[in-house]
Amino acid sequence: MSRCRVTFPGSPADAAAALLRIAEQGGRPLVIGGGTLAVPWLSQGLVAPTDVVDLGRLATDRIEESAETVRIGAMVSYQQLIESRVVAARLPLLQRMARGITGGIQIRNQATLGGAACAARPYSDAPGVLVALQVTMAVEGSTGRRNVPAQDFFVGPERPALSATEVLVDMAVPGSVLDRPSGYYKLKLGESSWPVVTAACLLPRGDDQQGCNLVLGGVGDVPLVVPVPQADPGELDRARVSRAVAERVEALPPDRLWGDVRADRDYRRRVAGEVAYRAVRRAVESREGAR
Amino acid sequence: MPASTMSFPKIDAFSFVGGEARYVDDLRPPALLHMAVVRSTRAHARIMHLDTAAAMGVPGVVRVLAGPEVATHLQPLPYSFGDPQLLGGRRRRFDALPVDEVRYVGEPIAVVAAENVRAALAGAAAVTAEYADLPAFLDARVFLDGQASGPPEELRSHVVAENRFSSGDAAAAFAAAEHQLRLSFSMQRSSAAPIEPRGYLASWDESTGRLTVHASHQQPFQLREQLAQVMGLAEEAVRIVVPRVGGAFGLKMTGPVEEPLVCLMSRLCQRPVKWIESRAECFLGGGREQYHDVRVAFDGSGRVQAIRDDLVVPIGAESPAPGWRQAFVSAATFPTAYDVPNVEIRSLVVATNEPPWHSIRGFGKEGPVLVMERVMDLVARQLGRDPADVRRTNLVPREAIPHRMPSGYLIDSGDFHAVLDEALALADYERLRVQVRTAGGPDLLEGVGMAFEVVPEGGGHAAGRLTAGVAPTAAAPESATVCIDASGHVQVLSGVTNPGGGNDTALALLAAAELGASRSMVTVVQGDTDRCPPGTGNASSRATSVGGAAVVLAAREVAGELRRSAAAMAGVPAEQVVLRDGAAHLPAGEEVSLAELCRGIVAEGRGSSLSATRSYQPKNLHPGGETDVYRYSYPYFSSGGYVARVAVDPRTGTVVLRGLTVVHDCGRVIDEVLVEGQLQGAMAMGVGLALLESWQADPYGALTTRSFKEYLVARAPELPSFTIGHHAVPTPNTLLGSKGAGESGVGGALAAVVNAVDDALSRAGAPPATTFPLDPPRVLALLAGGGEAP
Repeated sequence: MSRCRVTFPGSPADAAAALLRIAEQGGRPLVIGGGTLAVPWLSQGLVAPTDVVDLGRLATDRIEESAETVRIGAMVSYQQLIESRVVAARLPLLQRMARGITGGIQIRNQATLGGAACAARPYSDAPGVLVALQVTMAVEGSTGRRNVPAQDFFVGPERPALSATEVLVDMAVPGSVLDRPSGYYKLKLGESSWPVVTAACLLPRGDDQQGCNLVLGGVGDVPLVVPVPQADPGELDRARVSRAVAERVEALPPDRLWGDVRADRDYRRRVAGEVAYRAVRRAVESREGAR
Repeated sequence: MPASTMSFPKIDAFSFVGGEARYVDDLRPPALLHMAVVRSTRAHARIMHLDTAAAMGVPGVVRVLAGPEVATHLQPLPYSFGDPQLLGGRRRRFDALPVDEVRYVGEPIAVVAAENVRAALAGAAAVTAEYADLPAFLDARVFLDGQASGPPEELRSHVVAENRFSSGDAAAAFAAAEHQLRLSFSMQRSSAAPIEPRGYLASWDESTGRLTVHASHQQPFQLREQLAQVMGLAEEAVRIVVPRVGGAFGLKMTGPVEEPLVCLMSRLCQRPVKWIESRAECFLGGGREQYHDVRVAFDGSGRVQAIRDDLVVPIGAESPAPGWRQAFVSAATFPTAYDVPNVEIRSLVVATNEPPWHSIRGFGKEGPVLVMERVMDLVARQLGRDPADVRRTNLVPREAIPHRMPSGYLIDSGDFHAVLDEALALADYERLRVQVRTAGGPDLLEGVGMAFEVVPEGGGHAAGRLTAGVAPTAAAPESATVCIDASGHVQVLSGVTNPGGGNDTALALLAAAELGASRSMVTVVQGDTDRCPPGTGNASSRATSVGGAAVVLAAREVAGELRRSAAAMAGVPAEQVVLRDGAAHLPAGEEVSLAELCRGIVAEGRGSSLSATRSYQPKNLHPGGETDVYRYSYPYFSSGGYVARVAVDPRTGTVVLRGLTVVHDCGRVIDEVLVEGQLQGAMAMGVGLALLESWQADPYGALTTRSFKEYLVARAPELPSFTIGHHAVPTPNTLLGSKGAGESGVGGALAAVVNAVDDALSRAGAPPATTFPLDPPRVLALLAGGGEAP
């Protein structure tokens, strides 16, 4: 029978040290955040780690607001995002995404934003939203801490920019994206299943000269940043958004397009422009609503 | 008092929703071993070498069994539901585990017993196999070409059965036809997907030589019979006990190889052994897939003169389980509720290298409903007529019932025109029809669709003309024991089982109504072959209609005895005694409680309880003037008219179901709540089949829809509140006049939703929907002008 050691590091540095030790011993670690993916793998016998590193005692489950940033711990659950007044007031995009997570209250209480980021599944909600929010991912390794922009964190399908001895500590949302009108649209084919295509949109705040952040999930194998022409958001009509999306998608090498059993690449490519437009429209509506 | 007017709560509902109900996996006897199954990774291959040594080395593993050893212990597996020749099928030998050849990805090749589940899984993972691949046959659509001239020689080895049914002269009708249509339909493979997968706990007792099997199962008596045969035991040496079941839908009929294997493992290890199917294993099974090449001849009024259907039904790998029999039922159910004078059905039943079919709700009857309802809509569209009118023109009229179908199936009862018209009225169809043409716009396409469904039920799928050399068939009985003890408590023991839908409530209600008892006085025992009289479990929508009739007969006998005792005490004629509210009421206004009455009977030394066992067989009332002789047919047909309303998002292809209405005829309604519960579930399944559900495999035949994240079913947020009405036309073929309410709804909802989506798409210029499900990628492809799958 397979047996494994379980460790509960008390800090990110401890976790990194534990992972280094396991690596030096030639072990196969399984890092558990909220556990909604990894624990079923374990119980179904789909993975056979030598060591389980449970991050449940890292104390990285806080949302901290400062003048310049909102810092979200890696172990913050979706339910915390839904209930947080800071998130509701300053990051409605993140709250909206958390509300739409597939699964009941158990999943929302257990699953973590950091876990979804580290899973880096092309079809999940979190990666695209983190890229749209221009989040900085703080990563702790045995040699210290480093910061990775979200856009660089997602390297490929289920491939985060983490070495075998690193853990995610927190995600810092920069002040430049706080309080901006936002829209999120998720297309999925069944209520019980995962998304097929998602789009997250942040509009400029007031009359700022910032651009519009538009990021697609589930179309490429990593979140796809769509450059949107500088324009009054009111002019971001369906044709203009669809054209921008089509250009971005066409520029992608075919092997970087995502397809899975829920929907093939062709369907995702065909609906990408419309999904993006709906996110933009929601963002515009939220801005109109705020005025 | 008619039973349906009584208020009878489902007394165990809270145990289900509150987590108290005990399922087979909750049973953990001492010294329990857990079994895991090693499965083939190849679709078709010769087994060159199977190495179990490493598995035996895994800590906790107790025993590993592979094909050669199993063959020394177990007899070949018998066919469920009789010889395949009853359906014109070939027979072959099935062993519990293959010795030299695997036939699909996922086929069991070895089993491992261990001290715990993890060790069993680790042991299974340690078994290695070397294969020499053989050609895998994964796409039966090659049979569609040139079907009329028979399958080509090189493909003949895949043909399991050819079923042909005809009436009239189709060739002449086509030659003279005013209008013709040729249509192809592809119905996808789908899976039963109950909340609780299969599971068995086998406990061999060496001291008594008895085997006790707790099983999440639909057919305990069939399981007992077949296990006894395969294990070389007397039937009395086998006891099957069915605990609570979390849904079955056909999946849990007898036949899967894990059944004898877990029992053999228990006997060899001399310990109880449990096997619980994983979700991914559960999804291996499938059914319903079929390909139709349909030609229709009709006149300018929409009257269909002839229909010819060449269909190909891929049943997966051959199996002794009853799933493959649904192919016959699909062909035999044509042309459903319609009176088509010239019919020619030519069906090829084909084995592939996919997992075997399991039985699945609808049992083959939903495919022909989908095809016929698409045909009616497309005939109407070609003529520019209202699809309701075309259906009215073609439905079998009430006065023509009983009506013999080309296959020999017998429509016993029904008023199809009334049922359809009531459904249209309940759904406000005329208004919807106008509304969907004016509502919506470029961002939303609205559609309304209808369907008419008939469902042959009650057991008797192997129908047909009884000609020379054809074996006759007979109705299967159900039986029940009703007893009342000295405290006045009533116990109903039934041979039918409860898959979770609650037919125990209906059986209790029927017994109570005969005995004048209240619900709290009645206990129902089901699913225990040592305690209950024999029966078919739950199958073919007959638990209440046939099983309930046996309960009524047994209860009547007990009630008669009670009346006679009360009458003797009071010195009045027995027929003047009325059993009501837990007491025998005498003409003078006095009453004697049932408990008191029973105490008296017991005191007289007439046993510790009053008990009666009766069995009941449904009948076949033949149409007058029939000269041919037929096999026994399904004894009753339920029917239903369905109306669906949908909105289609043309930019993403997603479909929202706005409303679904049915008017249903299940004959006499015994318990409205239970009937509607069955309909709700079946209709949800039909919606899922129309829009979402699709079993999928990779190009090598390996399942890719392994969980509910990939295999999408319709869930509450995707479903509107259904509107349900009843139109009862009792059947003459059952004691109570009640028909079935288990399978109805799947085909009707499926066809109505598909027709509604097609209605919306057709106004946007799309070609007819012919490939299912109508999931968003397929809807977008249709809107782009393509008829085939993207």
